[in-house]
Amino acid sequence: MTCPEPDPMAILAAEHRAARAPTGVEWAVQAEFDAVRRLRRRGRAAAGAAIAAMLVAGAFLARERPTRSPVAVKTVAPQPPGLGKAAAPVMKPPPRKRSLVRHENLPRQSAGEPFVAIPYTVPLAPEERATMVRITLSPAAIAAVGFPLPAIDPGNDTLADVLVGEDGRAHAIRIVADSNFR
Amino acid sequence: MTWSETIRDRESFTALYRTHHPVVFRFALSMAGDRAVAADVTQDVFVWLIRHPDSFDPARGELSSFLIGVARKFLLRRWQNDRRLVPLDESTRQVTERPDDEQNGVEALRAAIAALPPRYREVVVLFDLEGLTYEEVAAAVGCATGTVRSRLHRARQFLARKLESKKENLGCAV
Repeated sequence: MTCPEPDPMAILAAEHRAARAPTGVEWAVQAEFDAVRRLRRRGRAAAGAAIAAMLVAGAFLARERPTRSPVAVKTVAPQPPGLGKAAAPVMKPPPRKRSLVRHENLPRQSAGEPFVAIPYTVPLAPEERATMVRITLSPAAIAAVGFPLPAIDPGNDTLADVLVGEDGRAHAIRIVADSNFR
Repeated sequence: MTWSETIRDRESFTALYRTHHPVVFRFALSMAGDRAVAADVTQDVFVWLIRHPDSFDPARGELSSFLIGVARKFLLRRWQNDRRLVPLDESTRQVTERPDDEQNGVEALRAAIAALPPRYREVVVLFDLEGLTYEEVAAAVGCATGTVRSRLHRARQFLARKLESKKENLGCAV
């Protein structure tokens, strides 16, 4: 026996297609749309302000930065440690000072002497700015970079001016004339 | 108007929502069996679209298939979190006046569809109830057209068996 009746799948499909989402969903979605749009606008404004601030700061720094005269650097070939020309007299070591970094306002006893390029370092570019710092060096540190060393007391530290490039690396050095090293 | 402009313009987006939300809602309703869950999933899908407008590429397919795919992932995630399938609820059924036999047949079919495993149920919902093509269903569920055909075939076999047993109980062909 068969019952004449419409296809249940068709009835179910018709009911299915009649279903609608609550209107609250549309409001929630539109609210989210507005919130995201506001956030994007704020993000764009913040990015623009940041770029403008960076440009202003860059222009200000470029105007304020003093120009420095190029420093003469004499290049010497590296020599192995301990092959110095002349042996200096052994002097009594002064009290040891460690890690002293002094700036350029110190008296420059050796201002006339040229800097000696540190071997195996990239030389300063013509337009590169360099900072001169005065430090206390032990003879062992000087020997480690291949400079000629007189035969001195290894505990006898010396003052040296070091040219530091923009990359933070030392490029050249000169020994202060009146230090104990000379 | 390009997709990028449409998704960023409020009026265009509202029109897009009104065009495409029914299919997403109906799919979620048929899969979850709960109007509240279906509304949540529909909202999640469009909020996700607002936040990820570049995820849809109009060159790769229809937006409705894409949105159904997103809804499907939200539903799967929800099921993974809940670890249970929500059966069809009385509140989701739009009971209409019709003869008892017809009522019994439709309700039996609804119950049989709800009892299908999700991967079979989704193809039945999209193809038989929503009226999408094989290609659109394949794009929505992320598989090949042949897979859709085979899943649909198995799903119909399962439904036929279910309805046959129901028919025997009722003593009337469905």
